[in-house]
Amino acid sequence: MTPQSFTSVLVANRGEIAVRILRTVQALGMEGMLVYHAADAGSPAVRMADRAIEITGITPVAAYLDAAQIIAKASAAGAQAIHPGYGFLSENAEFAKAVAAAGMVFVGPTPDAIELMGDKVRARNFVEARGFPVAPSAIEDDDPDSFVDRARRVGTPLLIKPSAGGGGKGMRIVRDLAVLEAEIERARSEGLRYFGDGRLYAERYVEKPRHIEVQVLGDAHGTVVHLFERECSIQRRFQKVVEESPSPGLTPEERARICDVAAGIARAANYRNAGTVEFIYGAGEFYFLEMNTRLQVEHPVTEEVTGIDLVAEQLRIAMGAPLGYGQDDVRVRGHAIEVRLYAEDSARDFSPTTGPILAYRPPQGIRVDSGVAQGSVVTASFDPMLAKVIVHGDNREQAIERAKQALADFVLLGCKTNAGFLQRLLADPDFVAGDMHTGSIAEKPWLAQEPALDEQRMIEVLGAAALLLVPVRNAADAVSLQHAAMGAWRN
Amino acid sequence: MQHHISINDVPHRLWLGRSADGYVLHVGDVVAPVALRRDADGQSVLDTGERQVPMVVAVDGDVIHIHLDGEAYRLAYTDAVTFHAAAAGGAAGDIVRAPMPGVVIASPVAAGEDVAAGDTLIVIESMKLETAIKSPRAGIVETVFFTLGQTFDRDAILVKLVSEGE
Repeated sequence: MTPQSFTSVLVANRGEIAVRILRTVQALGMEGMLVYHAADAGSPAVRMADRAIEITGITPVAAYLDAAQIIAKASAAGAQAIHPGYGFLSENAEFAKAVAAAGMVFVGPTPDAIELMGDKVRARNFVEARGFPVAPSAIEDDDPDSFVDRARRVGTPLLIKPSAGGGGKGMRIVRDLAVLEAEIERARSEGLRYFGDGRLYAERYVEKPRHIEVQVLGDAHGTVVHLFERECSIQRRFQKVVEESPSPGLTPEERARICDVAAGIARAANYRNAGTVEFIYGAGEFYFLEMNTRLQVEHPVTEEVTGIDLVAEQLRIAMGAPLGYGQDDVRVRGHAIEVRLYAEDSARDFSPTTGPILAYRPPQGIRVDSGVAQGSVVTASFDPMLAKVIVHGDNREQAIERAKQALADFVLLGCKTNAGFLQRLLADPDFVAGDMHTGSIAEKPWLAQEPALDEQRMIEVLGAAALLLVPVRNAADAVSLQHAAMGAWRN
Repeated sequence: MQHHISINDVPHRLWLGRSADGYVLHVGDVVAPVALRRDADGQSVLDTGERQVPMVVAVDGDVIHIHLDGEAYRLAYTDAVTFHAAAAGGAAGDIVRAPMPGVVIASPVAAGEDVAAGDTLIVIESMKLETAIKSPRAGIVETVFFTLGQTFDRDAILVKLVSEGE
């Protein structure tokens, strides 16, 4: 893919990220195009686009994954570049190649970088071979006879898991090497039982791990900078819920080290465009987890603390422009927090909810990246994320207060959201203290439960509902005032 | 007249009466005058005599949504007939409802087919997880309400079995 200038960009995505990308595309004076499935007709992104082109598919999601159709329609519409957003086709090397083959610019990294980082084992080996930290591990298949010895050398705490595994099944945590062999046999028998495969894998277990990731930018001229870190440890069902920058858990030395390592990995991969290097961090140590070769959902917190528009940088880099600044020019100001508003019921194990959005009033003066509006209908067709609320403060305390206030002011009626859960989470003493890890939400099930209504609140909502419900009002009106007065005497 | 209104799925009973001054809400032992007025910019204010409570309300038929003090509440009205029918049970074994919203990814049975208890009636995907919805009893499929690729909401009736004893 040769960098080339362009004046129109087609967004191959939907929802809040399509709106977010179109905003910058249009602000830069370029034409913003969009493909959309009929399920999204009338969405804010479709209304905002200079041109919206319908795509079809067996399901709405299938339409957004249909690379050939999207490229054909983009080409026919005269789009000069395609921005894939996140999810869907964003980390699909074949799509990136096909976009270039059709004479358009893919706004993202090279297909080689996507392929390298898309294969988790290859990426890990690449990073390890260049001297960057990966979790010490032992793979039984490499040499079954020496597996126990090699696992012993990884050290404790040690996680043994079936090679074929997933979902936590058959995983054993070993804290005392005296029981290593017994635990290996147990893990093997569980692996056989669950997956029909007894081969094992051992790696250093990180207690109470934090998820820390680093934003990087690389241009086509070999310059790579990092834009500091994001803390994304607050997760439910392996999905991020709250992200912030800077991380409250790193010392300045750790921050400098982890950010340098991320930039080093990107440099070694000859990385171009925006990417994120993810790490697992615990007890002063951090290990490479994976690299995401795309714009992240949580990119706004980095934009808020650095003042750099990441989408604008992606577009400039894709045109072949040099970054024009170095590492020392990137500075962090204050503290930013993003909370994800999901259509879900936290009290029902965060299961998704659906419904029409009957009232929608985002908080004033706050950045809200949203894909919905009043009149939108939330269905089960897509990811349940509705909007992101992003706040900035001089410090973390101020940012937390602003996030709580913004959530309290955010009116979204008709479809249940996690807004109440988020407010309880932001008030949690451990969160306020910055003491969190990826299992925090699971350890605090009370945060997911709605508090009992006090009597005053119950009277207020029942009173309003009674007056608004036609049958209740009619029944009251049907009683003559004289009888009503008698009723009052009896009380 | 007693009314059944649930707040976030928790049932409550109330009745609304009138006085010379307006409406009076009766819930349990509590009796409170209530009045609702529209404010500028579409907000509502509930007046309980003692307190003026600002809120945003949205009406969707028999469901009232209220945003109050940072929380959203869903209040659903149930008419007495439906309430008592549901309380009495009904032919629950004939219908299979969606445990969560999702999309149909496989539909192995059709109307008229015999199924045994535990047979898969329909396979749904929700939260990136596949869930096979099993038959609660042996019987004959009367209707499959959704086809491949269609989405549905929680509690939607997915499949109905032919009622027994008819």
